[in-house]
Amino acid sequence: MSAMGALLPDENILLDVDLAGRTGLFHAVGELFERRYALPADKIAASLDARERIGSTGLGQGVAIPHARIKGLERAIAAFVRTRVPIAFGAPDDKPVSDFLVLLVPAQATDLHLQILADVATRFDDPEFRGMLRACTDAAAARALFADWVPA
Amino acid sequence: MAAVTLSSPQKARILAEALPFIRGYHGKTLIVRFGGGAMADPALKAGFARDVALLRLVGMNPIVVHGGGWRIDRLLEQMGIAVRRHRDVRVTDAPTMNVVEMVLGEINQELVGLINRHGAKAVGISGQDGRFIHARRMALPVEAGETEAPDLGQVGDVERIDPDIIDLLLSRGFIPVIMPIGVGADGTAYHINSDLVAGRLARTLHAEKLILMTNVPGVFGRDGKLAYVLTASEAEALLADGTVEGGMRTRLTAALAAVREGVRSVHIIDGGVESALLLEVLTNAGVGTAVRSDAGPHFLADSRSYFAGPAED
Repeated sequence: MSAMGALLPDENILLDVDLAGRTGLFHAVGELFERRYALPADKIAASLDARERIGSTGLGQGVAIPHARIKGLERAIAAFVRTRVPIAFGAPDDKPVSDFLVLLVPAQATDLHLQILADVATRFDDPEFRGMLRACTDAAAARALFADWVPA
Repeated sequence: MAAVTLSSPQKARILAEALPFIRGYHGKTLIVRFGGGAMADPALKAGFARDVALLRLVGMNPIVVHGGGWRIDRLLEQMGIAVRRHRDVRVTDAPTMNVVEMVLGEINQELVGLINRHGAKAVGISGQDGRFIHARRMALPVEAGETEAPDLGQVGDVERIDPDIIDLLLSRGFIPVIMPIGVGADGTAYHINSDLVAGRLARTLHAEKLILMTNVPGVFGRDGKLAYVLTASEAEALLADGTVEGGMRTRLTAALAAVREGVRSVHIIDGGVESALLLEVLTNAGVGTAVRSDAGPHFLADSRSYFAGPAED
């Protein structure tokens, strides 16, 4: 199992949720992390938003990797959210996004964290991975796909 | 593409997912260049016409520009007119031009008829109508071993576009179906590459989207893999080092010029995929290569600078 498996437990996967726009998404993600890790939801939403203002974390093809540095966080944690209706996200191909891998990292982010982002981006770049991810109907299947995927 | 049977909930989900796209492009102008192999396949051609009608009926302003391609060569051959080419460009003397106009007119009326059959109102026009495409003779640069530039006859380039007639048609809900013929200052008609016309039209009309339909899955990078997003500089590099060749060169050059002049969204898509146009406009599945400006997000570079910046409190 790759590092991805430890980052993304089943409980951090939300499939086919109804969310209104980027604000709604970051709010929902903040609440998820607050519930699971007692992190402040508002702070997380604001930090994700701050990173997004540098440039969209949308990669094209309906996928994005929003991420933020969070003070007090000791290790990276992730969530995967699939929205029922794609939302506008400023992606490079101008397409709205439905599949979000959200990553929170410690305030002192390192090359390791950049590597995690690159690993997720590699998965999302692969049409076969995207297809299989969209076919997942439960959290366990999505988690296993992220964990076990071997890039071509 | 494998045939897929969808369940009713899946169908409903697809329709619901199209809603944000329909809202986003409502009242917006989309230029679609139709050509390539899809023109040879009656089912793909009819499907294309239905998709164009659908986009109009849900409130967008599609404009179709079509080529003539292989049908021109075939008719020239049947009529016993020899085809000469200079660097992939067909030399167009007066008899050849007659055939070009004949074939383009025929394709134009076919598309108009097919679109109308699906409940939209299409109007076929050429750049001569209202003199809306001003053309000039195309000149190829002089290459080694040549004393002067090759004479291509009535092959033209777009000088400028006067969009009055297009605005008029769009304002009344018509779908313009344009054949790529332009007029020179002296009244000579010129045949212009349809990608060039579509690209120039998108720039003149400040269109929301330019879609160039082609025979192949999209633009392939140096690694031989399909590039689903290219920035303007990446596209330029692929043109400069010769990675992109043949008809795709003209197509990518037209796409690049459109992006550079502010067309927000430019796509080179595979016309051989059933309903490629609907997939491109109404879903977030890309069916080809999107070309975008250099400005805007660069995922890993942005993240690197974000990680390097001061930590927030």
